[in-house]
Amino acid sequence: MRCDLSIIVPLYNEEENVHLLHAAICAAVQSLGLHTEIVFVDDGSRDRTFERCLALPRTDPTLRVIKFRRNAGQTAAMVAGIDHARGDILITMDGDLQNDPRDIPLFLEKIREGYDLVVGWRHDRQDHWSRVLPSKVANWLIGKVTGVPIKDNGCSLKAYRAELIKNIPLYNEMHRFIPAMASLAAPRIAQIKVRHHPRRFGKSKYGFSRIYKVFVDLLTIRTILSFSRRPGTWLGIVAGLAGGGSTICLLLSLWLLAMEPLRHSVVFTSISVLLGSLSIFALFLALLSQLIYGTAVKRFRPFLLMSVRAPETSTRPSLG
Amino acid sequence: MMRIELISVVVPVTQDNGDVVSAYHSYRRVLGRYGKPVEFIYVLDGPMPQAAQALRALKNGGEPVEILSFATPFGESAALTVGFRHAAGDVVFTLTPRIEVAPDALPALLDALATADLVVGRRVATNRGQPQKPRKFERTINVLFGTSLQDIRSRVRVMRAEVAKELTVYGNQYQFLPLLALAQGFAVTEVDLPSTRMPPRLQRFLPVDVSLLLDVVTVYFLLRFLKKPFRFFGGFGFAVLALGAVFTTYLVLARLVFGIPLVDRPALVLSTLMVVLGIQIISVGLIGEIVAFTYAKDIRDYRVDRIVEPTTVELAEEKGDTAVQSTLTKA
Repeated sequence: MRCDLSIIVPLYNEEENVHLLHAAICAAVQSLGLHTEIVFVDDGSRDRTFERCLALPRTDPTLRVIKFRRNAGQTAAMVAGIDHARGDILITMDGDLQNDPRDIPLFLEKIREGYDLVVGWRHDRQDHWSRVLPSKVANWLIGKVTGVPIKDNGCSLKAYRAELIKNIPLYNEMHRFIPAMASLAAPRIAQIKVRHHPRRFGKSKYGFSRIYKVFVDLLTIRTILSFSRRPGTWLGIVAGLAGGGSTICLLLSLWLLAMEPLRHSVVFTSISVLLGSLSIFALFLALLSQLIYGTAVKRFRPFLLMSVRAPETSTRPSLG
Repeated sequence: MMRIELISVVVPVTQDNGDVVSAYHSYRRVLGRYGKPVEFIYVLDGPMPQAAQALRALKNGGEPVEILSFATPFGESAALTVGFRHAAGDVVFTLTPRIEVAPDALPALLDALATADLVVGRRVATNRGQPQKPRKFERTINVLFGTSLQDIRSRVRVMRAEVAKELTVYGNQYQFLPLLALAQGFAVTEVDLPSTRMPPRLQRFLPVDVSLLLDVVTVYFLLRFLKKPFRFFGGFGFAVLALGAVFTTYLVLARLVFGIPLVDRPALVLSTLMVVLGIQIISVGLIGEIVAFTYAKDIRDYRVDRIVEPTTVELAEEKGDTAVQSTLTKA
């Protein structure tokens, strides 16, 4: 059974928020005149979140509850919601009431204008500076590294065309990088300012170990993006740099050999050999990545098709 | 209480001998007491003429025995996986081809399944009459994963059908089956089983058990970093690279500014080696990420317990009878 709009909310230990959230979403979508479904994904909560979900009315708008056997993380919860959603337009949002469902019509408007992905921007963020500042740095860095400058990657409130997001592989903690990952399919991205409320109930679920994770994940995403367009390029660069270093050291050692006693050139010769071996190693890895690409290329077809469908697209997000 | 219509027994056979028959009869006798049909699936890991002949004789005698045989040995994990795919029962036992635990204790395992998804038979030496202390392997695992299992490698287990359907084990993983089940969100418990034959202590050639160490590292990597290999490799790689870079910078500065010579000592070679090693580890980790990305759509991160559809009016209150209203995860 298809519907027009799916609203996907991952929930983890949100027992106080569930009914407020449900009421807010219902109020926001009732006047839209769309056939709407709400998908609550209970990410293995340890409190009574699931029981609270069951107590909610499950018709008009229809409500489906997906319960995980154990906590699998926010990305997995979002992916489960996306996999099971039946709408043509998908909206994801946080379960902690910091996003405001009253913003949903703005997102739909942008999608109707022809954008494939609409990203919320919490321009007036209601959190402590110790969370806002690292987030700003991270967003700037993510924009620089991935080439998709989004002002607020951390905002869960986003709208997607189902055909776009259902084809994008998301795993681990990639929900922070959805626009970057989606850029595989060259979508038209819009950003809109959204309301943001301070947390009312429950505890924030983030910690400081995020910095290492975001850094490492960023490098991963960069690699994946460059790999899926030009497999082997990054390893070619490593091989080239190492080869260059090797050549310089070799020349240095030859020069030392000519000028000084024999033993003086030994160190540079060794380093030349080391860097040379790194260069060869990288070349072989590049071949390996070509092999992986060769076996995987049919999995990328959905993105290629998406790009063909809309030739005039640009990954540059516009701020509307 | 769960309903049982059929009990499946998967027996991976890794050694060829004819004495599978006596064990079969003991198992059959004990499990037959439930009054439910029992199916035995023997998976022969490679050509085993003696065992095959004995089992075929059983089968021809009308016993509920199914014999699957690999043309060449693929290991116990592959045998288990194949057995699980063939098992049609509501509960699936895994048992040893020869008796290692007292068969009379098997019903205790089945009873414990009322509150768990997988029950492991913890082998207890009967002559000492008390549970043995957790072995080094189990202690290491328990510290690493925060579990409290005492006999992870016991091959006597019973599980609900959905556990058997979801588990795919390969390589050495049959040893960690309870951990894999835990990682997928299943409840695992242990029940004491009087053991008639304890596994023999293996002769060791090295002071450290290398294969055990490798197994622990493998399972740690597998459970923690299967879909995020770069978190694992990246940590090592960047640490080595940073050390090497700092060391190299220091050496080069010392040479240029203070004129400390670099020849006659291996310092610069060592520091460069660290840089090279760091880059190699990082590259391998990134290749791992590419593989993970490539297969991301095939490996699900989440395990659905149940989906409540809007049409469902009545709901299961207790975990016990989820089978009626819930839609279990797509296999």
